[in-house]
Amino acid sequence: MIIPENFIVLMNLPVGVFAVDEMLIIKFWNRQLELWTGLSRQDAVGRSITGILPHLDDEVFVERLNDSIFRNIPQVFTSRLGISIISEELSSFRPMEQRTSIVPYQSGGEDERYALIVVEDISDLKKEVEAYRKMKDRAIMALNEQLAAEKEVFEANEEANLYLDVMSHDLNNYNNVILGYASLLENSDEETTQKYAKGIVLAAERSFQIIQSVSAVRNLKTKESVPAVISLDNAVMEGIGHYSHVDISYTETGAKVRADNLLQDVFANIFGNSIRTGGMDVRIAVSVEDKGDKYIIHVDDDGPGLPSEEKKSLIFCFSEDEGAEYKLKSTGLSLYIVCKLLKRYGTSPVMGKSSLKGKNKGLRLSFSLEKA
Amino acid sequence: MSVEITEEDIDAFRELINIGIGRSAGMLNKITRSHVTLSIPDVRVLPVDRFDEIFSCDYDDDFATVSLDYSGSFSGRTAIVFPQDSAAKLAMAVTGEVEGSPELDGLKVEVLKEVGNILVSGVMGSISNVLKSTLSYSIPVYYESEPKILIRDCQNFKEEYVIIGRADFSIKDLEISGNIVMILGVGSLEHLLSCVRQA
Repeated sequence: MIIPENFIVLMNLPVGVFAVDEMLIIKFWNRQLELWTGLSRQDAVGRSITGILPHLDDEVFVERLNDSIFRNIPQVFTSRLGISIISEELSSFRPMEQRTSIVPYQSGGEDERYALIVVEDISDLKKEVEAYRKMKDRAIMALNEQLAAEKEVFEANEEANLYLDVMSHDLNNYNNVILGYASLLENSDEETTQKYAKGIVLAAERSFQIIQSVSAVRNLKTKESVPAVISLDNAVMEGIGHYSHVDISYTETGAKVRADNLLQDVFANIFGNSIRTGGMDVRIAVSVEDKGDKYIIHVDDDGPGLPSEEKKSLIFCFSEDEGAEYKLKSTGLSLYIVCKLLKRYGTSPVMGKSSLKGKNKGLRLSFSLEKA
Repeated sequence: MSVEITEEDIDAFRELINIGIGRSAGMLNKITRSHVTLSIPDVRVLPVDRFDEIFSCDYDDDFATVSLDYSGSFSGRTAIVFPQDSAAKLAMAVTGEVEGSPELDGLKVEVLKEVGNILVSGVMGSISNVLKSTLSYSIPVYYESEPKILIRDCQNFKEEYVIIGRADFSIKDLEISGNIVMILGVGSLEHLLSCVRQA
């Protein structure tokens, strides 16, 4: 038995390798094939390929084998399309999923032509593909569940927005009716009736303002703040315009700040908070301090200030700490909205001593805004 | 350097490719035990820099490609390129598996590699008969990518021209379309033309 010397290196490869010459006589048979087929090298070498592997006496296989030997064109086979080099009967282990490559090989010039036949067991590879597929299917299922959940949330949100729109619209209709009747009462000759009428007007205006601010906060979730040049005077005056019967003083400064068109809601809500705590007779003063590249805006009132529980909540509310949730219940809607809006401008309100003197100590809320 | 190619040359190329894939169709008939027809209705020869014109159309997906490099008196790369839907149909037709079956995923690459190898071997066998010389070939490789990768990855030769033949298959009532792409190294088109004109 003469094994061409160059093939010896292929002896211990972990794939099956054998070589045939132009007459399709086996010239080399490696150890892996011995293991797989139970046929020793001595049994195989020197015999015709179809002699020991009769199932390979197949027109297509022989044609492709010859293409490799005589035309030098390598060939690849998969056992799934019919050609299994190691047939099921021959395999000493188990049915094998096989990939076969036929590579032309020449030795000693043109005279010695061989085809090297390399057989790989890809059964494990197939299992890996199946495992990958299962994993992919699970991932797709999880993704679909997530998309369905997101859709549900989106629809619930849309529904909530619809309710909010309808509710706001209906409440504003009733507020208009209240304001209409209250205006009639304001023309009364009786001082007490006029006073009560003012109270009703104020409550309705506050109700209008809350509805408007809730809509504004809802929009915050969907719209990015695009900083623009905003007239501070206009924003303060718009805020004052929401409360026709409250004593709010402000001296125009001509200041321009970087904010957006929701800045007026900041003022409207701070004023609303003063009215909530101080009643309709509360006095409010807005002042502006020039601090170089920014303005500090102070809103002072002469109300009773905030109860200690609210103050504590407000400190958390103003905190930059991610873990400090706004205490909506404790601070009331107005200050919650103020916090949310100012956060968009990169600032937050701080409490201080009011400049307005009266029977109460009052409350000062200050915040800074960048100059434009 | 530009090469003048006549209608007769194009006809001769189409004939050569048809002979090659005709032989491949015969093999596929036997493997699949069903009637397979293959035809090359259209062949174009283009400078490599116009390759994108052919594939820049409607396809978003990567293409399934089997390619084989060769060298000798004639050098280049021959590939069979399938759009993904055609590749999937071909794999289904050959294996008898249905779309979405777990088996098909595992089989697709191996099957396309073998079918691609048979087709490319057929074409190259036909070409080497005309060239009357034996070439050295690489092992066929399968990949899924944009067709321009076929050109970009040529490192063993300097590409110059490309011959593209649209290949229409019919297997088990399925109509499948692909492209035979031959990327030719410098001087290879002239060599092929000279052999074809003498034949």
